[in-house]
Amino acid sequence: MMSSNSIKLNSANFDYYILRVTPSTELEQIASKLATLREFDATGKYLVLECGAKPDMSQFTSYLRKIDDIAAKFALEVKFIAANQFISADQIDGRAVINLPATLQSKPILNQTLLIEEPVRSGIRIENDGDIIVTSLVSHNAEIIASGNIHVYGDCRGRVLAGNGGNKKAKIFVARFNAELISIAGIYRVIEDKLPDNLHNKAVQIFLDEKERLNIIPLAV
Amino acid sequence: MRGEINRHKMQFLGANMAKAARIVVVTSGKGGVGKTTTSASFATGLALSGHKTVVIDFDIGLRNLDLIMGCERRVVYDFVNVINGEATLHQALIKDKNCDNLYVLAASQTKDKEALTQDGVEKVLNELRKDFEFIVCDSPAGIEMGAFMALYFADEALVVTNPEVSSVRDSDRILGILASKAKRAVDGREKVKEHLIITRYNPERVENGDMLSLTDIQDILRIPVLGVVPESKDVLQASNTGSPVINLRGTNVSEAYFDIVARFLGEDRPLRYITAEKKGLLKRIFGGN
Repeated sequence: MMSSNSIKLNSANFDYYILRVTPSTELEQIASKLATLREFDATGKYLVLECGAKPDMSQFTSYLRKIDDIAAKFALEVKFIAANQFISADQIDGRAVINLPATLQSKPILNQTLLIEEPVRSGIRIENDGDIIVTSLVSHNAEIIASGNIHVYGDCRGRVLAGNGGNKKAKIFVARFNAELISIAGIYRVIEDKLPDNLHNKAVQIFLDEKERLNIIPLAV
Repeated sequence: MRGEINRHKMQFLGANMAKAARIVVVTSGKGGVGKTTTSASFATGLALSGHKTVVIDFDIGLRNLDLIMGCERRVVYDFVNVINGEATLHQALIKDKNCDNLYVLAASQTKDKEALTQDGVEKVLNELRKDFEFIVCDSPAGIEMGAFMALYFADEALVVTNPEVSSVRDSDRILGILASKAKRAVDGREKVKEHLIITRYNPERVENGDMLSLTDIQDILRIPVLGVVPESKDVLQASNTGSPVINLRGTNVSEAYFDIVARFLGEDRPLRYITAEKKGLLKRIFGGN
């Protein structure tokens, strides 16, 4: 649904980070992502590059060199390339292609929480690769899209999409719930009819249960 | 010699005042809600309160302001001519027939909206800043180039809305644009000061549930209400006679606009025309208006 999915960074273990890119990833996005990483952690040294789509092999080496340049600015080195359905060579540009154990694909490194203290008006879209907190109103037709959780402390009348990029654990918390659309990890529900009285304009939390159904329940205070 | 010094000092003061010129955009998103009516009456009210004011029509190609101001025939040069350097500002400014402090800068009827360039508009506004205390920009409907140019340089905004859902939604959209795209927002300065004006308000119809109430509108937009203008046939009459409705002294609409101007200038006045008139028994039996 959204484009903020095009880049992802996971910490594999204390020394390695997995940088996942797709053809739509911009070099500036990589730079900002690595800057975020350095805010969290100053010790890791190596990147493992993972491709989210089949790369153009004729351009790949020069693309890799550009990523090298950016990584060097943050004292990081692209050490390996992850093997997957798109990459089958043994090595590329002198770098070994390795199989990542599934257990290494651990928690994503997200941007810092984005705090919005102004009303979010109709037609405005706020996106963050991390949590979003809105202290004021979210108008009809406004969109709040977060890779992490979303908190709205005012009236929520627009569209709220948490866990964008696939985080099924993400939750939405709303102080006065009257949203048009809710979504977690791409599973969405349009709210067309008025909700029952215990939910309409009340404090609620929204989450995915183990069967991946969207749940809206009153927020016990 | 002494006189020389004094004059110098006065010019210096004058220059300071010029810096304090305020650019006020009258905007709404939706068409037909009363932007031009409000621009004309608001600018006239400011001028009548002794402030040197200019009102600019940004609706290039569909000019209306000059009609409402009753100076249609006196438009020789317009805003676009000034931007293109075909006329000086002095040639294009039309002095209002009733009010000494008020000038009109008309829009072009023949050019299209692309004639408004950001540099051109900025140049004209900067020149006007030197001479005027208030620059009122009458925005066209929609969110395209003309509307964007009208709000881009604004210090304050009068958001005009009708008590009706689509109008309120469009105003919300415009508030979003003001908060994100206006020059003040882009430069990271203090944001554009927002004021809400509700026009065509009919308290009886609100009580019957046919119209959104003042509280409903405030609940959606959450900006301070500068004034409520009642629905009235006087507005149409004023437009047809080419005089801003504020000049129809004694009418509710004129009073409402005087209140708006006074509140804008810092005076504290309670809101009027927001509750339905209690009809007496006879009136209820015999109807009447």
